[in-house]
Amino acid sequence: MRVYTLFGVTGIIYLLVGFVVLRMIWALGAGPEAWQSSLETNAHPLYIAFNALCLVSVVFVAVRFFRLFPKAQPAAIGPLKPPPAAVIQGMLYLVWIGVTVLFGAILAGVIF
Amino acid sequence: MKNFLLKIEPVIWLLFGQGIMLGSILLTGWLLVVGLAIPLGIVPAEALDFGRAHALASNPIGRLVLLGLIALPLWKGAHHLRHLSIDHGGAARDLVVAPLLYGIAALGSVIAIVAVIRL
Repeated sequence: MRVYTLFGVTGIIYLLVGFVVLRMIWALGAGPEAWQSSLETNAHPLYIAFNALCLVSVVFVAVRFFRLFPKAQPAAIGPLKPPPAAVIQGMLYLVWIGVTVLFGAILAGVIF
Repeated sequence: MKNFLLKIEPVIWLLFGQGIMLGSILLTGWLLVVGLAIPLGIVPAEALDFGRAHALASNPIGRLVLLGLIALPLWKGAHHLRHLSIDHGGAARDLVVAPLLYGIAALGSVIAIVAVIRL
């Protein structure tokens, strides 16, 4: 029950982080000074702590969701049955890690 | 209002599911680099100077990714909080809580669309 409630409480984090990212993208559209200011704001210890909390929440949500995902699949679609749970979970983790590495590398200026 | 909430339920569940799935997948890289590595000096801030950040964000794929990065977590958050409220004895107040939370997510999504268009 506590984990279930915690899963729901992450809704607050997701709602807040959505608006934090929105604030940054709005600043990017407003020009170089606004963008620079938003990056500086992001370096404030409170923002760093918030982002760390967000990261923990996101990992918690993803791991829990990926564990539940195979159970939410239909037993069969016509003659096709879903692959074993371990295969589904493995694919989800592969996509998660792959997108994170790719997206992170782009943002960090390693590629492009 | 109750009928309206029931009608939009499939769309809300779709946005909620994608908020968990795509939102979490995209947020991990964003939080690691933009939220932590750059502010902590692990990645140089020049990686996201205005020119480069704007070039990345303003192409069609960049706009779409950013829209997903903003809007999907908002819907995940709104729907999860609504059900948390219901689970904790809030069924009676759901006709206020649900429109309020979905309204916040919808407003944020509209502003996000404007934000990525004006890049």
